[in-house]
Amino acid sequence: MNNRIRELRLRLDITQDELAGRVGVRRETIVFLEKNKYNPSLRLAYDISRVFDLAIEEVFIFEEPETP
Amino acid sequence: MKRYIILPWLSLFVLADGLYMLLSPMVKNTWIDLVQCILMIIIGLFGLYQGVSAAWSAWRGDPLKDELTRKIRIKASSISFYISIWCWIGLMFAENNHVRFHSGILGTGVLIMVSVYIISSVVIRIRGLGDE
Repeated sequence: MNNRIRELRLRLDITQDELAGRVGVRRETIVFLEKNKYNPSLRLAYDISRVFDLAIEEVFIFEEPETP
Repeated sequence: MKRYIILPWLSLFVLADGLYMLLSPMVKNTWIDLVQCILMIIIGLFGLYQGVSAAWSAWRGDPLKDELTRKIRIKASSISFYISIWCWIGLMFAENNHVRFHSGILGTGVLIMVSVYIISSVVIRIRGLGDE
């Protein structure tokens, strides 16, 4: 799963610290999310999407796994 | 006392004990003793780092735990538990072959468990949990 958190955060001109504070997580979690090293829970994905005032699927891009 | 104060204190005790063991003439200078002392020092330093960073987070008003830290802890714990069980079997086998451990088989097993926990949490932090 990819996401547009970094792009949207920069567009909103907020720091990782500020975003972390708004969704109630540590800054490390935002760093992990931006590097695509972590798939968030539905609750966190929802909270992040609300900060950007977008739907979840506009922030998080789901990719279907390739079937053999 | 706040929870995040306890960890640095405990870590300091472990660190001091490791250094004392390393410098004490009572400890026989076998490679097993040396490895155990070094592991204790590494564990003490890791605990100190964790404790200080938790205290720093609390001072900044950050949450001490969130879903990522919880998941990393759960995964590192399960990996260390699984691997240390096999290490314990290996230790029992080694003891049957007259290899003597300074802190006993239980202490050595705990040292291995904590060491694997530290290694796995570092590896998880480097690799991430993207495929979970």
